[in-house]
Amino acid sequence: MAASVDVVEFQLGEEHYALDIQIAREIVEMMPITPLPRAPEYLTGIINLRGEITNIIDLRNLLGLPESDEAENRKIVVLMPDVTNGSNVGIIVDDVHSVVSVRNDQIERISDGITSSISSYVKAIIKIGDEEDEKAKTLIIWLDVQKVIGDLGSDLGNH
Amino acid sequence: MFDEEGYRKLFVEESRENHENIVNNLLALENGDDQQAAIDEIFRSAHTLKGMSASMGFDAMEHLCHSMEDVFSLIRSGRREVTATLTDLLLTCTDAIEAMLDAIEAGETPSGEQSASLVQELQAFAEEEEGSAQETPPAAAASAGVPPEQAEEAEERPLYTLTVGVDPSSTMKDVRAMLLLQNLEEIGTIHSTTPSRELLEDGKFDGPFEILIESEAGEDALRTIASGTELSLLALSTPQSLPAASEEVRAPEPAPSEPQIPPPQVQRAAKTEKSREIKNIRVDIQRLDRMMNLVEDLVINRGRLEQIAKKHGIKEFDEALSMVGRSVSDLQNLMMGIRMMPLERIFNRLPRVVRDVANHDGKEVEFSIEGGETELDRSMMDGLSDPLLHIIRNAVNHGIETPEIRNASGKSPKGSLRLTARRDKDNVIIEIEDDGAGIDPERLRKKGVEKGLMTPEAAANATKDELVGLLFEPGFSTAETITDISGRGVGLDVVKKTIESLKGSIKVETEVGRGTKFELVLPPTMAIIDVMMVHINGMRCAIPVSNVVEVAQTRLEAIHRIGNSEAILLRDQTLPMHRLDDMFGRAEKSDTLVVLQNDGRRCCIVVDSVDGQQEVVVKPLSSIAGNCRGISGITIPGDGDVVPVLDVNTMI
Repeated sequence: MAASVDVVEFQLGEEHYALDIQIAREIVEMMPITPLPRAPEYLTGIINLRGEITNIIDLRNLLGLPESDEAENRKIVVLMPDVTNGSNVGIIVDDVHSVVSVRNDQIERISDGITSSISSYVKAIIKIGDEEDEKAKTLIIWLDVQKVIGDLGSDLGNH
Repeated sequence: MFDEEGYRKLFVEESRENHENIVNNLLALENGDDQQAAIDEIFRSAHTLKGMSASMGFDAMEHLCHSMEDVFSLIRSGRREVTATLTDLLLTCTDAIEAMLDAIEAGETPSGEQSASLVQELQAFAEEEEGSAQETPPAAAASAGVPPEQAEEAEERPLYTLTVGVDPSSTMKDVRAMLLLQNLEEIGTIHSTTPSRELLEDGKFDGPFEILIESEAGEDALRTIASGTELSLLALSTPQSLPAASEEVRAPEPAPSEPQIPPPQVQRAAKTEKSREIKNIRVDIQRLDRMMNLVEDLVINRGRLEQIAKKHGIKEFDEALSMVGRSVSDLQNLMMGIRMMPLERIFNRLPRVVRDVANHDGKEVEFSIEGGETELDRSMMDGLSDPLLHIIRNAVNHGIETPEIRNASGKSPKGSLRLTARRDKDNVIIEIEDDGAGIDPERLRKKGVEKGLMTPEAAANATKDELVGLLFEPGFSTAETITDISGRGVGLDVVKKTIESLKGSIKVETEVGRGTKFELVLPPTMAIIDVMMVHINGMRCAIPVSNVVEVAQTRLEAIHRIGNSEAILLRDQTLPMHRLDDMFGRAEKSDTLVVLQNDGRRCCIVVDSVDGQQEVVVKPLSSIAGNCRGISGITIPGDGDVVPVLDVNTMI
């Protein structure tokens, strides 16, 4: 039984991340983003995506990652509205790689040893690469984007 | 049936429209408005309802509509008077129909129990006093309509016989014939056709056909209509007098085969179609929203095309593009307009409510509605309906006194209840004002303590406004007795919450003995507002025009620093000046100022440039963006850009 899940692999800075494919609605090329005065810092701004105002979130800021210069392949992953309580939300990523099929045995829960500032947002670590060649193996951080976005809402409620 | 669900939905929608039409016209009838028109409308709606329910197999509803139709055919022919008892009975019938529609919508089969007893009542009414007058069989009554003699007496218009041929090669004989008949009905009344209308409309005819029509439009108009595409007018007889003509023309008709459409019904069909022309079509809201998004998409792509065009500079292309651009802007404006609905749509239900509550309580109320044409975005319309209903019920139930009390306090026995709506700057304001007893603050004070909403000390010192505010507290009701009309456990607190969820506000003014006024202020969100487009430090933003006093040029020397703030002297007025650095960053020196006002306070801000004024739809900020002070929403103007709309109230 090789049960597997599909995830979208993307890049932020040097690291590779993944998010559930079900929550991604589409991937669009980077476009000019209109900043919103006095908006929270994580909100880069808004764009007009086919007539729908879409809030663009800076995942980097939310995860506490440093700014990067990598701008060439930047894309916006637009999320399904049901993940975000009906708002239109897109997240900026440095690059989108591919859809990866992940087998259960490749998934390692993060609680097993590693602690991190963002561990509550990490679903698991995915080990990927050549089975034979240990050096070619790499890690993908599987993010719980739904939780990241969901927490934004609740934070706002408290302010 | 593969699409039964779809039919059912359509049926319910159309039936609701007809049902509402009946109710409104019944009320109009009671108020003594244009009697004949109202009766005709009811008759028509009941007839349509009957036909539709029969075709859907809802027998109980069909019978009920049938009986209503019978009664109305008696009223229409003048054999019955419209009395209050009859109106009550008919209104009860409409309630029953509504209940059935609800059941049908929920996918159930409507119960026939209530309707059966109503049918009996209606029949009893139709038969009573009928005496020797011959028992009209229902079917005959239904189709009798206006007796032909009556119609003919009223109008003596020239009669023509048209002989029209359809191009034998035409593949759409039926459509041609039908269109022709329809067009002719616009200018006259068709008395008969040979072969019959049904056969014509089904295309079951060969060669030319004859139409007997009564019309004032004159020969030329008839000629024009009768010689359209694939049509040719073969003969047009000279005007004749009516009785002779009908004998003459009907004679060649193959007598027994086509008696189905007697002249009066054709005539009625003509009338029906005329009144239908002004009807609207129904469109699913989601479809409209999708369309709106598509239009906006089009706008963005037009912008892209324009940029490409600029690069290449092809004159022909530019011209074509500007044509497209114009169409797109028109389309966008149209779509914005379509989203708006007149408040009438919810106001129309209210006269009935007032009537029922007033009758129930034995009160006399004169209810007036103004400003029903004021438009509001349809997304707000649904939410508004219940709060309004509640306030209106309250006003009649608690506000307006019984005629005896009113007489005793020197008022006219008939209470007045006014519902007005108007557009004020950005907002839509709805007021509900009665001239009833008002709300006694002392009673509120007492109640507030009793209900534990206020400590006795707080109550003793409470101002009138604070006491009135108690009305909106959960669990507060001033009525001594709970009635089945307004004391349903939901109170003004629910009303307030609903209005606030629409981002509106509600206010009460009351004076003991003089009356109470509720004021609902609904916000610009989703409504179309006029904005002034400006650039502040290179960023485009929109300011509601209602907040703008003027645009002024100034000398930099006229700006004075007062500690950490700045002020400017503009025509003898000192205005505080804001640079909005925290919103837009520190700007270059600019000498263009926009003077703003809000709640009577004025100030000015510095802008780079003013780009003009336009009407836009303001979309609310998403919850993700949180509460950005100073921004009330976002708009997408014609060029597809995203522009924040400033909220002058919270900006500074």
